[in-house]
Amino acid sequence: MTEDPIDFASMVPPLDDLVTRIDARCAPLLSVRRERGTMVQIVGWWRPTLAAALVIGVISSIVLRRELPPRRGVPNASTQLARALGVPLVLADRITSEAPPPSIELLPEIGR
Amino acid sequence: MCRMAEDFVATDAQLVERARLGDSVAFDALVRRYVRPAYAVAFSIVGNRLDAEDVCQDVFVRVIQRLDQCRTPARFAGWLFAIVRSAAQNSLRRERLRQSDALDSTDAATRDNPARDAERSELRVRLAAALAQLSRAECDVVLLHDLEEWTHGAIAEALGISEVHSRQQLFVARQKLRTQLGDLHQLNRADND
Repeated sequence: MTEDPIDFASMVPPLDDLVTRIDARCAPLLSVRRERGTMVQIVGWWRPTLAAALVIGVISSIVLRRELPPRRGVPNASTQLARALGVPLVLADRITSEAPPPSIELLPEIGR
Repeated sequence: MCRMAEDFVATDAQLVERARLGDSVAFDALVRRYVRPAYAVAFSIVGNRLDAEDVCQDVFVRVIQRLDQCRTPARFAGWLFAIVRSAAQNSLRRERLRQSDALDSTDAATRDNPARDAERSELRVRLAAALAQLSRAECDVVLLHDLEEWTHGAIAEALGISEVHSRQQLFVARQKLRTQLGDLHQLNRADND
């Protein structure tokens, strides 16, 4: 009858000792896996955190650029000089410029 | 439910996933679940107990090293048996190179009844030889069904085949084994009864 199971009892002895030996041999390998698993979990925790921080950083910088008013220009040398010496800006301009003053500007001063 | 009971009913996929993370209890459950059919497959190829046990040890070490390569953990059984066959054939090749012809010489059977031991030893050798003649699928199915008493549903899931295919493989495997074993198998059944 092919319906009856084949009796493998004679072929397969009790294997408890074998299981113990296998477990003993595999214990160090499982320990390595446990350590690696912990590292994977830490990396698994860090990755999304780092990614989220990066995204927040990028968005913040974009928002800040848009929201901050444009930086005002630094006063030029003539203005700074005029402020420092307390002279009119025209004079400060003249001092800082390389070109000599035109005679039409000098005449009124000579006439005084 | 206690941990041991959970491991007893846990699926292969669950145990494999836990073993991948280094869970020794899960790995032990996998070993206990498959050590007997793995041993039977190895024995059918190498033909003696000591080498079959060595093959099993090496295979489970290899399993834990390569567990990440098991792409379908639900079909762990088929993956494992393929490794067992490969390892057993390598062992046999090495053994042949050493020209060792002692078949089952280191068997630890009881010596109280030499006649009965001799008969069982012959049955063991014949059974192993007959098992080696089966196709992979026939061998896997008959061992899981008749040795481990798995249902066809569980076998189908573990080996990635249909239940109908599992039944067919079992039918063919039993026919082949009975033809190979002949009267010896009947004697053994009567002996066990």
